[in-house]
Amino acid sequence: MMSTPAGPDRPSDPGRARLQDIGTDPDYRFTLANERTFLAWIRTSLALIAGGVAVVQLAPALGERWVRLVLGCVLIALSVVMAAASHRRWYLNERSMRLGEALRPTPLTMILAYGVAVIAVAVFVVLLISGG
Amino acid sequence: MPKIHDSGMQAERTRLSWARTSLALAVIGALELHIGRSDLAMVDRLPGLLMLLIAVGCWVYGGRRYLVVTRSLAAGRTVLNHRQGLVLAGLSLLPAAIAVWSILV
Repeated sequence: MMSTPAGPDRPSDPGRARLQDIGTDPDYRFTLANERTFLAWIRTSLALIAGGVAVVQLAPALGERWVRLVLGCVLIALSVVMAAASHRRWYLNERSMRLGEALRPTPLTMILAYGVAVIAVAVFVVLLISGG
Repeated sequence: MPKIHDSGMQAERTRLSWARTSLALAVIGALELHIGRSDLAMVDRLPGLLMLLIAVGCWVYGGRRYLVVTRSLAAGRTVLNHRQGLVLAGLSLLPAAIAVWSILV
């Protein structure tokens, strides 16, 4: 389906070429599924950002401002890691599909799970200390 | 009846995914606007306004992308946009940068 061969004017070297010049076009459904997966990760990252902003601005009872700032910054830092990694994953998946290679496993799910667990424990400790 | 070139409504599902992302950005924008506080200067509301602008941009891009994808499918062209990597990279990093600005205000 919609195959575009790599020829002299379409270099197949994945190191330097633009994405659309690498390999051949995969089934468009896979390309769009890859885009939706990226957007789903971005929304997860946005949820972490919302949590970070909310902790700083909407939860004064949680503790001192610096404590909330640290929590908010950690949440936003985790969201940056997720967003950057999901962009790289989108690129690598698209490239793998264009080259007909297997998709690589991702550490994103593990980073998200352990990151959220660590933040949840930190919030629990802050609540215990502040007596909230 | 015109022929449907998109079996499984892939383009429509992708457009809706862009719309959901745009709405998530808008919610964060509203949060960063410090809604409910009237004592803030305009500069303190800039991060929220910027985030709302990105949300609008995301909505518009999703709509344009839907049109490009459906037209490309009808014409048998690739659905990969040559600027897509840049757009997705911006979407990855800008919201977090604005959020940091917002909580430090």
